[in-house]
Amino acid sequence: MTLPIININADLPSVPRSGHFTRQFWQALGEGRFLLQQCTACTALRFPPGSICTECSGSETLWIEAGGRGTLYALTTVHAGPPALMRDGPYTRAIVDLNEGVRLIAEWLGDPQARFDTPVELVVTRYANGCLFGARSIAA
Amino acid sequence: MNAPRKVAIVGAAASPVGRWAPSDQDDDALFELDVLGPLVIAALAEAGLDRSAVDTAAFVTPSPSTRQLGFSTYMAARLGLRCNGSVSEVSALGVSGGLAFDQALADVALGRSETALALGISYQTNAPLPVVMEHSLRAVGDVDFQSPFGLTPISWYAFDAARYMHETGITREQIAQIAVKSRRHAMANELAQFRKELTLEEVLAQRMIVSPLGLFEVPSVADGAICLVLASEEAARASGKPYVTVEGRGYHHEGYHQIGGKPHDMTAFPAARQAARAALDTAGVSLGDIDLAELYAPCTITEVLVSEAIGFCAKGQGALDAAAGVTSLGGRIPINTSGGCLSRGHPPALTGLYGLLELREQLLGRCGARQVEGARLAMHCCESGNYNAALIHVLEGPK
Ligand SMILES: [Zn+2]
Repeated sequence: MTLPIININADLPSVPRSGHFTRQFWQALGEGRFLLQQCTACTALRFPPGSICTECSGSETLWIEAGGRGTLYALTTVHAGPPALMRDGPYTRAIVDLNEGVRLIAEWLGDPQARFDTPVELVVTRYANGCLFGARSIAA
Repeated sequence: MNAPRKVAIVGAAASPVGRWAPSDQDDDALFELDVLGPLVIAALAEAGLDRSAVDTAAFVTPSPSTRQLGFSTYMAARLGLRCNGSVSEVSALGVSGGLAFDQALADVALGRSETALALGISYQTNAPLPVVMEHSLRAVGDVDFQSPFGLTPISWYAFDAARYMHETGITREQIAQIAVKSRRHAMANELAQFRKELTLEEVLAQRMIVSPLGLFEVPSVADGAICLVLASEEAARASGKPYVTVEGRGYHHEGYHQIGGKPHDMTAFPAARQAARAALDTAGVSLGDIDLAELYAPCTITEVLVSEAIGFCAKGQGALDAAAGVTSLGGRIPINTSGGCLSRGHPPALTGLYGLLELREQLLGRCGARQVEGARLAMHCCESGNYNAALIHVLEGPK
């Protein structure tokens, strides 16, 4: 499932590195796909991607594509952040639990007062110099 | 190797927590050595010792703005120490102060050291804010998958607060009672950064910093410098001077960095629960025996959650207990009589040492208007991340 891509006319102050175990993730993200690693030894899903399975120390993995849906766990709005991120005022961030059973941090696009434990979808936030990911509410 | 020995805190000295780091332009500046050095001499003098007795110097790694690198070996040289135990810098975010204490404790307990210093100095307020921010973002998140989102250290506690409010129905107003209580305690602490009385209305009127936490619900930037002196209980007894002993110790790292990679209850702080159990077990006491506690809590919500995790308060009761005076001076279990991170002040890497100092002064009955009557057993807890790791010590006063 391809994620919605939101174009943002600004630079990311801190661009994530792309490395041997992460470049596929960032490449796919730029194309609207959110990849998770799956350990071939114990089947655990792993995020962020990397060389070692946190559950079993296995090193062999498959890439699987997440469905892009999940649940909102928590939100906070940062009113005192690094100047480069405060350009447009306070910003809101989310902890999202994907339906696949993965927890991650995402930009929050939408009402900073949104109710927790409600459904969300992932989006790609495409900046001039790189991509991050965000989340927003969807109808139940 | 000898069997472990019981260890005592025999001396201490500290600067008030506050904004006193010199600027780079100040040609009358006191550098790190000039502030920490006299504290070392004073702490040793209180113990009736001089620097020739010191075998171990466990420094907290100084803040990133510190110009002098190789800090521990430089300081050992300038202090004129000759050590047979160890000279080191210790660092693991907020748990650093406790770990420096732990290193000094272990060296004495194992007989590597007769006298050990746990010490540090932290200049936080003279560094440019963007530099401090950028550094802290990289410290409290995965640099590729979390830091770019701009989550400052306290924003993780803000997530905790938001989630806790959602799950329990407890309000920001109720959690903010922690700030009022902390200030009331700090008013009687001459080391405290903020000592002017504070009302709940004033707390709630401040601007938001990380919602749902406002300016007075999060810590201010602060400088600090402190030195504790440890020795074997045998040596402490022989000195004839008052001392407190370390009776128990527990540590747990839950295996997460801020949050886990899969869903979990981020407000449960299991590391604190497990470390407390281990510390109480090694001390051979139960939680109900503890007379007071210093708990590392940068934000109002953090004290609520760690009080509940350790078991001082029932789940969902931490804020209500604070409002009811249960965790205040005179209450069932006074918590953070120093004023805690919010009012005593929070030079993060040193907060653990300041907390241990408060408990030592309480157990020696020296705390005047904020003295906990009959204090005999005390618990100290410090942490790193979102309480991903917790280090707990149980101290006992004079027998
Ligand atoms: Zn595995």
